[in-house]
Amino acid sequence: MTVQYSYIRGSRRKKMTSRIKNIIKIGLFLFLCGVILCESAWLFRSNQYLGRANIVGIHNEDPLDVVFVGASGVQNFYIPARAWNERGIASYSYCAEGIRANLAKEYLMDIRRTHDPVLYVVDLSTYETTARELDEGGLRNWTDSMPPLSLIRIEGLYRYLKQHDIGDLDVPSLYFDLIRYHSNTDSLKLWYNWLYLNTKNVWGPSKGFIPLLGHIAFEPVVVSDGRTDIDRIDIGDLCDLLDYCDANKLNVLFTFNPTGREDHEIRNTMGDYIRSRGYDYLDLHRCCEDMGLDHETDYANSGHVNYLGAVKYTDYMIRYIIDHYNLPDHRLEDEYADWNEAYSIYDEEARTWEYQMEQLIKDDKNNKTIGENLSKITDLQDWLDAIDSGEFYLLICASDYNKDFETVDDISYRAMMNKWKIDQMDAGRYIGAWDGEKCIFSSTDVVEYSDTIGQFADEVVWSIDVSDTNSIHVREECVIEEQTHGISIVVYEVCYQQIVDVITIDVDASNKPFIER
Amino acid sequence: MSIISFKFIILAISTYIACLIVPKKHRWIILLLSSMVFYYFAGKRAMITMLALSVFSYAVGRVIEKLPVDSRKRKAVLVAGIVIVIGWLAAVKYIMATGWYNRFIVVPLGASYVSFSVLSYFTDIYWERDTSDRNIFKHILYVMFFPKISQGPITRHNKTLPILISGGDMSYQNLSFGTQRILYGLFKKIVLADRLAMITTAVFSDLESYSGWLLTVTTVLAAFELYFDFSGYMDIILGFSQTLGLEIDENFKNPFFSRSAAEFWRRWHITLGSWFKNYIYTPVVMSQSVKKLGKSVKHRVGKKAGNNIMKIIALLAVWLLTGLWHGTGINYILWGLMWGIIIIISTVLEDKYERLNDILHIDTTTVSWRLFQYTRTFFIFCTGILLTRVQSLHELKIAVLRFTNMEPWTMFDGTIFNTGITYQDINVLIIGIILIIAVECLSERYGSVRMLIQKQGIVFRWCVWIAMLIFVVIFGHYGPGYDSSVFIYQGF
Repeated sequence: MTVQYSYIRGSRRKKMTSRIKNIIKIGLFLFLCGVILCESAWLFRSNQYLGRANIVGIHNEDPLDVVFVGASGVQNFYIPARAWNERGIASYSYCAEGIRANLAKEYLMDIRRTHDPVLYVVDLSTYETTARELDEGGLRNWTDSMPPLSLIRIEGLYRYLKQHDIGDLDVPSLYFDLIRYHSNTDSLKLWYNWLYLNTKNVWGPSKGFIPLLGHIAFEPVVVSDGRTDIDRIDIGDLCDLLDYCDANKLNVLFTFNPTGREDHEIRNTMGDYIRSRGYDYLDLHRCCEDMGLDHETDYANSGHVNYLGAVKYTDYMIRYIIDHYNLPDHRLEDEYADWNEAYSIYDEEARTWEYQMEQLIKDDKNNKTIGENLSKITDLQDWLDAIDSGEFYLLICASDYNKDFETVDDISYRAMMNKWKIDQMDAGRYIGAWDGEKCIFSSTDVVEYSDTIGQFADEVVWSIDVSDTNSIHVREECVIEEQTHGISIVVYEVCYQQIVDVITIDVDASNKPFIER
Repeated sequence: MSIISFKFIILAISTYIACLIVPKKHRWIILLLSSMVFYYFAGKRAMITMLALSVFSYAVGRVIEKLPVDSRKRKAVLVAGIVIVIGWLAAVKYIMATGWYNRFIVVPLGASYVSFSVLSYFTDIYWERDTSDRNIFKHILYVMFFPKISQGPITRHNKTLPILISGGDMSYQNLSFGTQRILYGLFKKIVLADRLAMITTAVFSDLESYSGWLLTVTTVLAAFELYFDFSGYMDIILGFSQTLGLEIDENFKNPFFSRSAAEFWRRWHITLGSWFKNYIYTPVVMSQSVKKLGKSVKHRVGKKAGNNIMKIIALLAVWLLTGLWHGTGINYILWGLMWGIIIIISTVLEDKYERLNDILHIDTTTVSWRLFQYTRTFFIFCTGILLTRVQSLHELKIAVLRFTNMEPWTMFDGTIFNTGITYQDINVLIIGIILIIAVECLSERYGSVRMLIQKQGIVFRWCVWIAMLIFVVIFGHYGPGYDSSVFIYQGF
């Protein structure tokens, strides 16, 4: 009996040991597979967007004094190298395009994995105050920049998705982004993608700054002092963020960068709430004059400053930080010697950017002058020469054009037809949109087309319809109406967002082209 | 719910864990509940239809068993049951073929497979080869067991139900072997079959734009596509069943190593062939009228002719019905008849072929002869594929005309990239097809390749399976932008 019992016990023990071994084997195998698959996601994420390196690269930086947190409202605005040169402040921009300020708590958590800066500057321009429609692009710009197995990433995703209308979104591919990107095998050709396998090789370009080298002139938004009912604003995420800052005793300056937004009543109310919680809030729309921001020269589009605007913004923020916060000057410290080199690189690049911006603004001003004079030109050749000498957005339509252009005895007219492909019109209709020399759209089959010029607040919707008579609408305003003959052209000046000329080119009885206004 | 979907993965894992937790004798309840959940996601009406079919099948089985053997009533009940099930199947097929909507008739998933399982059930009871289920829930499990519902295999009740209710041996070995098989199935399905579908869909939907040479290559690729798609699905299903310790019938056995058309159908869709043999071929051959005809021919022509005529009639019946089972178009009937005629000819003229080989001094034991046989069978299979891929006789005519205009340079001038395939896809396909061929050669010679790998060291084994997993994850057609949930055989 005892022998039998021992045998049974021994057999059970063997079974248990075998079971434990198998469980360990399964666990180890799954762990290996999980790690390999998750880490290999880096190779397939579309890392052509440099901004990803900003989020990964912060963890490779030396100790930082100030970290700016936000989306493109930080990425294109704040120049850390200038802060170093000006005052020896080691700063960095933790940012990526479109990332929502609602996840700022997770951003701070991520930063605090490796840094403990004296000051955080959190831009709330992209804080979603009421809308619950999910912005997948912005979300992925952050999640795709985080280590796949990061708990912070998973927590942030879970929290964000819980509060949004998911619709048809493929949720598993957000958590396990290899599901989405696995077919992106062309990214294997990019050498810098392979750096991400060891993120210690990744550095944020220019410490998180990416300049915009465009130019647009527009009217600044009118800043309102009004307030709204705080219950109308979804401040749940903001409360979470402030609670987190309280719990960890973080020094945070909240900003509303001059990104051309118009919801000032909501932002003012948020600002009041932030101050009531004991934190500083700076609405930079009110500081444009102090910054010296010129809305005619310093913006790339209505939402973002260009390099010239970034310099002014940065210099203002440096002065503000120096005046309000006690930060050390590291310029003589050996530990921060690398920053001098980083500044030299920036300085050299900055000369190029400044030059490019100067040229661009000069060209745009010149363009404006040409545009202003365009409507005075009556000769077709002169008019076409003026168009060629500038950079304009042209909306062109033609239909029922039964005159054979080959018989028109005018070289400039025939060259124009050829250049804009109107001579391919055989069905008697044409729609075309040209941005300078670049064809945006051109067709002799389509009878209706619509598109936009610009982005953000300066976005302009246009449409062309040749189904019956010709018409062109810009900003829902009818610019060309019920035209039944000739080639109608609307000339739009992009930088100053204005229509500079509206003409119809027709051919008279003696087959000579003429301009009609 | 597709088996290549997140929902199915969750269902499969939940089913596995639940089966692990509950006592063995109650695992069948978990399988039944999982089947209900699976069907629930397929649509409530479809679920109700299948439940109704299950209950009907249960009732018919019970009634047949209770009635005296050889009684006319018993036969009448069987005939009524068969007519109702076939009538319903025919209606479903008609709806699928014509797109005619009828609010009373729902087209549930796997209608053909389930009908055949049900027909075999009460026919076996009638023939006293099986006993009816006492427990209606166990019977529903037999009919609606979710892994096999959409593409088979077509299982027999007396073999399958004891397996399902036994609880299965959920050992570590079964778990690892089953998972390996699932991975292999996914490799065939989402890496290879779905990639090949890009070429075959593009070419077959626009025959006139492609040369005869490209059409020839596409037909061959379509053969591979069908095999990878169907056998890949089977591997996933059988692999999952194996993880639960359930041994379901195999449906494929290296079919491209077949030396004859008849052998091909003993290696391809084995359970379908077996079903037709048991429930159409044998009953036709054993029927009084066919036996009478056989006797009559025997008297007039000879014994051999007498035997052959019985086989011919039975084979024609089998292949006509097999064609109709696959589809209702004239091309499917031609397809079935093609196979039937080839098999009939090879059966009837078997001794003549042997004589011819002797006269020509052909050594049929050589590798070259075997390769010739494999190629010949594969060629027949490809011809059948062509018949099933064209939508009409008119398209078939276009295809045949294209074959007269080969233009071989089109294989090298980049025309193939018009189908949407890329260089990378071609590389993946070449590597994948070579791998499958290697595995099947090893399998044909040494048996289970998984066992071969299992005998190797742990590092080698893990490298193999991790590499396969990574290959599937990276090169599989799935996720946003892909819809690999449409299985070719799912339409049946």
